[in-house]
Amino acid sequence: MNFYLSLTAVYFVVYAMGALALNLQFGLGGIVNFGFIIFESAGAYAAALTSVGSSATGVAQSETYFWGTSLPFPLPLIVAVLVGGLLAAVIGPATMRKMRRDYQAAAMLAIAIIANQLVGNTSSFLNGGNGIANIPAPLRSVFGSSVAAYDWAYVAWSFLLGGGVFLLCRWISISPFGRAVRLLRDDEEAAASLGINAWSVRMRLFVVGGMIAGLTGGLLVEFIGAWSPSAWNYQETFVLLQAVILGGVGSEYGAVFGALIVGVILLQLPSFLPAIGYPGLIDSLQWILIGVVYLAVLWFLPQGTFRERASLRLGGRAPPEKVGPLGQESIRITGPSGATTNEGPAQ
Amino acid sequence: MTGILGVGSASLTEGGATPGTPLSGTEIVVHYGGVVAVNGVTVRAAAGAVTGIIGPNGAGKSSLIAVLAGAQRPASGRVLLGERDITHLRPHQRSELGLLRTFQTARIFSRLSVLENVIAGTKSPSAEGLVSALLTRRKWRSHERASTERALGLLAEFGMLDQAERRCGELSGGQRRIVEYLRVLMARPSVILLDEPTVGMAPWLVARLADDLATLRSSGVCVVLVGHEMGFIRQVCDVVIVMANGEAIAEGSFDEVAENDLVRQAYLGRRAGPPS
Repeated sequence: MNFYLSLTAVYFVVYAMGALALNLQFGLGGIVNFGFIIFESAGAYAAALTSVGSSATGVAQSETYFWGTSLPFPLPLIVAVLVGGLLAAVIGPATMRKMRRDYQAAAMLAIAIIANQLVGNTSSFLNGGNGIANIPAPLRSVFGSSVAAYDWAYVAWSFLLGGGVFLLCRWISISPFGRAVRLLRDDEEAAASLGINAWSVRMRLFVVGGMIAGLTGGLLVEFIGAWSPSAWNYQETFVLLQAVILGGVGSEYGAVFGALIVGVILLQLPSFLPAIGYPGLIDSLQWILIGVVYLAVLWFLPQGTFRERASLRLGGRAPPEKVGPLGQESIRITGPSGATTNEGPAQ
Repeated sequence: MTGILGVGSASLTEGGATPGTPLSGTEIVVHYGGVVAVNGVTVRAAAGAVTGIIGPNGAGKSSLIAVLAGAQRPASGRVLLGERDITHLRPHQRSELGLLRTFQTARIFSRLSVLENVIAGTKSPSAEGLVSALLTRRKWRSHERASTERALGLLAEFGMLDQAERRCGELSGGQRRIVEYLRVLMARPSVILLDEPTVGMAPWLVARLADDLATLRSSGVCVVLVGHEMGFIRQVCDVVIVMANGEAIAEGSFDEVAENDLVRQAYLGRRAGPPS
């Protein structure tokens, strides 16, 4: 039970970070990345292969990667981040060009499916469908025999990273870079007329999203100790996308909230339920429920739970009273939140 | 002097390109498939002057503006900003040189607030730099504060201060045009291309815009303006170019072109009087 709870907590952080990264790309930047999961997977494989040493054993065979290298904590995570970003830098040029968003979405989805099928059906590459197992838990020996202490320490570590990712995303969102990203989302041509290089800004955003995705993969795989193509089906991207939409597109708080509802309550908690019906029935019902909730959110709550916050808010600050150059306007500032009234021009 | 929008004409030169830069398009040709939208038109817009481009619908005015702004690549012809050939520069590169534009249909960023839309015209130190956005927070925050003050001042003078925190997508057509115009001013441009700027604007705002253009002109800014409102064109333009069927058929002061027979024919048919 303790393991399940800690696993659920880690999953929450992983989903929250994934939703934050997807929100950065899709919510703020308008990049329809239906292939998000492959960046997470790249991070997971990268962390696994650089920490597994010579103990990688799949179901069917044993393999050694990078001459049996087993990098110390936290290097595998750093490698995961870099690989996620590198993959985005490689795929980005093909999909970030001036491409209609529906084509962009289709291209990313196709890439995700092809990658999954390719790895799953090539046994000589990343151990094919059997995947990588026996991935050592980082710093496990520090906690001795106390499994629970280690698990909850890992949960704390996950929350620390998750908090950092949240702050990073929030910071990006309120910065001038974040505004440039949102300008591009709303109207690329108008943004370009203001000096914003769409290609450059989008690529940076795409790579940052890829890096965060890589981190989530690395964080997850170091806890669960195994990774295979069945863990990164393209549907996983839609879980994150649903979290973003349910939470509110463009809102970091919304992304975390959506991850809690979709990633934890809809996807993880049913595993605590007693088995009913034939094996796999609950799994099937889970996906049906997720689909129904997806449709319900789009129908009843299209704006999501949280609204995107403006990067600039007047708050209590108000401009000084002034008279325009024509002597027409007189402005009076009222209201505690900086709400203003304008008496308008003299006629 | 308290110059354009109360910020002083000197501020137009701060940080942006230098006012006093003319814009010219030479022998511009634009094709859309087999249709010739602009056929060898030459425009010379002087610095410190407002150049109007008028003509009936379908004359090619907006296509010409698009070529000058870099949104449309001409089949042939050259665009010069001062002495520099900018024909092959993309819109964002022209913007960095101080050439800013508005659109025929106001293009605003609908999910951003009005204030953010206006601020969008400023080029922040970390506008495209992700790392600098994260590491030089104090610097861009300071820049943001100054920009916010200026944007609020602009909004106030156009009677939109109380709309500052509203989503821009909720604004009326005339208000959107104001926001679009104000964000251009925020960029401290040396050349401004205005495509039908008065459509949907309240009369007092049109008058206000005319005053602004006069101030911009005296500050050395080059303004190219496409319009249909002849009273406004007559009031603000130093030179008017009349287009019809993709060609420039007349050029001169408003009164001169109004007397031109070709212009009368293009606008109102052979037996009609001058545009009014």
